[in-house]
Amino acid sequence: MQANDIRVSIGRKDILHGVSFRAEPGKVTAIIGPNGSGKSTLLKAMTGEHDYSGRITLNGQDIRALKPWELAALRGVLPQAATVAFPYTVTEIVRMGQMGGLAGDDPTLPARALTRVDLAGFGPRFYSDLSGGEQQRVQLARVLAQVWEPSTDGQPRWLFLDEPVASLDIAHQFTVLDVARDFALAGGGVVVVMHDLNLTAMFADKVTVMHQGRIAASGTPADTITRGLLQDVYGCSIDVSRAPGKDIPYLLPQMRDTGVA
Amino acid sequence: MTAATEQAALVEVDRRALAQRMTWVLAALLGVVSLSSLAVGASDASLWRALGDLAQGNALSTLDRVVLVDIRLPRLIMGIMVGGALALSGVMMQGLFRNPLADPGIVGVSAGAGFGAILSIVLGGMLPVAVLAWAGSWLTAIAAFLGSWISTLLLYRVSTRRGQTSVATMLLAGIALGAMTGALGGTLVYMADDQQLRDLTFWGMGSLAAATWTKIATAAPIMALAAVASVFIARGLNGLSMGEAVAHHIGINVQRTKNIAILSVAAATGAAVAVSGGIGFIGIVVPHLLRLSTGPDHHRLLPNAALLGASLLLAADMISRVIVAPAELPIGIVTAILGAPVFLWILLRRFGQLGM
Repeated sequence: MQANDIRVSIGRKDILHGVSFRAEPGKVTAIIGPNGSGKSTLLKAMTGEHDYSGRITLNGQDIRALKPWELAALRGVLPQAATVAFPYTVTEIVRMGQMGGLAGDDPTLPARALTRVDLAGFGPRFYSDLSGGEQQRVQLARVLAQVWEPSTDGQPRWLFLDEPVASLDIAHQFTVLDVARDFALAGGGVVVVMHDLNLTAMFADKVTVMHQGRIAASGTPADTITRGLLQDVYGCSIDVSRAPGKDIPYLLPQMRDTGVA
Repeated sequence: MTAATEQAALVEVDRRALAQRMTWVLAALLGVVSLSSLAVGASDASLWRALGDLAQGNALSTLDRVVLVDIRLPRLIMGIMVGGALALSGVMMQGLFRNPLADPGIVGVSAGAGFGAILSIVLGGMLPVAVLAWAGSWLTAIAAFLGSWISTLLLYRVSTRRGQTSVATMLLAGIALGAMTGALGGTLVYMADDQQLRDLTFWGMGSLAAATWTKIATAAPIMALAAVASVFIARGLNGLSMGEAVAHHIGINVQRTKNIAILSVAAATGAAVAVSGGIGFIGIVVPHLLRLSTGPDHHRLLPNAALLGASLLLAADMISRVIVAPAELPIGIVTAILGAPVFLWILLRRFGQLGM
């Protein structure tokens, strides 16, 4: 998955000023950055939601040349939030994703996808009756049902996740990020927009940092999530530590240096 | 959340199979209602006597032939067509606007079609002869289609921003659209001569009473096109109910789906209005009842709505024929009495929910 010199303008405002981005199958690539830095816009350009200038390829194919259903067979997209207009059940929602992919009409797939996101047994319930966090996980199950096989015939499938853990409790944050990592381990590619730096450090293989519509840094979590980055990009003065016995950076918001002794 | 303490509503069955069975039930219902519609009426003609005559190889009595074949049969067929087209329009429009309150009659699309029809009746004579000769009996239908198409496009432009429809804007814009086309239509009626006024009055009563084989032949192909097109956008409409972005993600050509939906709504509503005047609420009651019973999946919702819409309009037509017999109540009054409370009910139930 490759994006070269991507520029996006909304109205007269330039949101992305020539961003080049690369994600590899088998890895979880996280995009982090402050609010308004262009993370979601970059993701939306890559999923074909925003018009852009530049070139974006998925498995070597220019995404502009692909029909919507051809794209749908290659990648699933989890938006930040999705409202559903009519009284669909959870199973019916998941099945809509399934029909967009290559998995065919396997009647057991929705239940299996729901189990993956810790919603076993939720199939017969109405989507609108669920809490925000549960709805978010139903949407993830819908995406999984669309690209159920992370890789077929050497062709990786892709997951694009826009802040997938934003409305989840801590246990389900792990559930969802485990799903993303397992997908990558099985040969698929994952691109995920994140806010939580500690979770990013735990789950991402590669981190791209966005700042004011440009790439500010790119590399392993240990290389990118540093005191200097927090200072420059987020304007927060805070120490970054290493988890004992692991090369995973972490930070405690409580250790913020407010300049007051 | 209060919902957590209440007993959660569950749908344990596969509603696809349920909806499939519903198709057969509704087809049978339409058969029964159609027979009743042929049998019921103000005259002494008898369907059973006529069937008996046919079975024995006898010729039909003149009374039976005139009443059954020339009056009740075209009325029956037009009722099926108009009821089906209105219900289909309702489903497609609600799918397009992602809202169960979108109905061609309520948001001004029928009014746009009506304006087109009035325009063709009053000013049609001013068209070049070549155009008139080409359009023939289709002129009113084509004008009504153009009127409803422009209305639907306008309404969609006004009420939808970045793939999200504002229901308040949609309903209010629909009122404005209806008022505007109503005023323009009124101006035309004011200008009309005696013969045109007669045509307008007959047309505007919202009735199946004026059914003729010519009108059926005019409207049938347009409605059939819309019905066939609806089959191809069923999956697209399902996807659109999760928003345009998600629809695109799961592989739907969003722009094409929307274009087909808008054109089909305009065609079906335009043709229905052109031959029967303004008959309201079929497009809102029918889809709502079906979504409650067999779910919102458009693959089955579309054909089932067409069947139930046809049955409902035939039933309303029978009521309008017998309730003040030998006179007739305009059918629009019957459908409004049945439909307006349902509209209010949906509105009240949805207040405070997402999207209002």
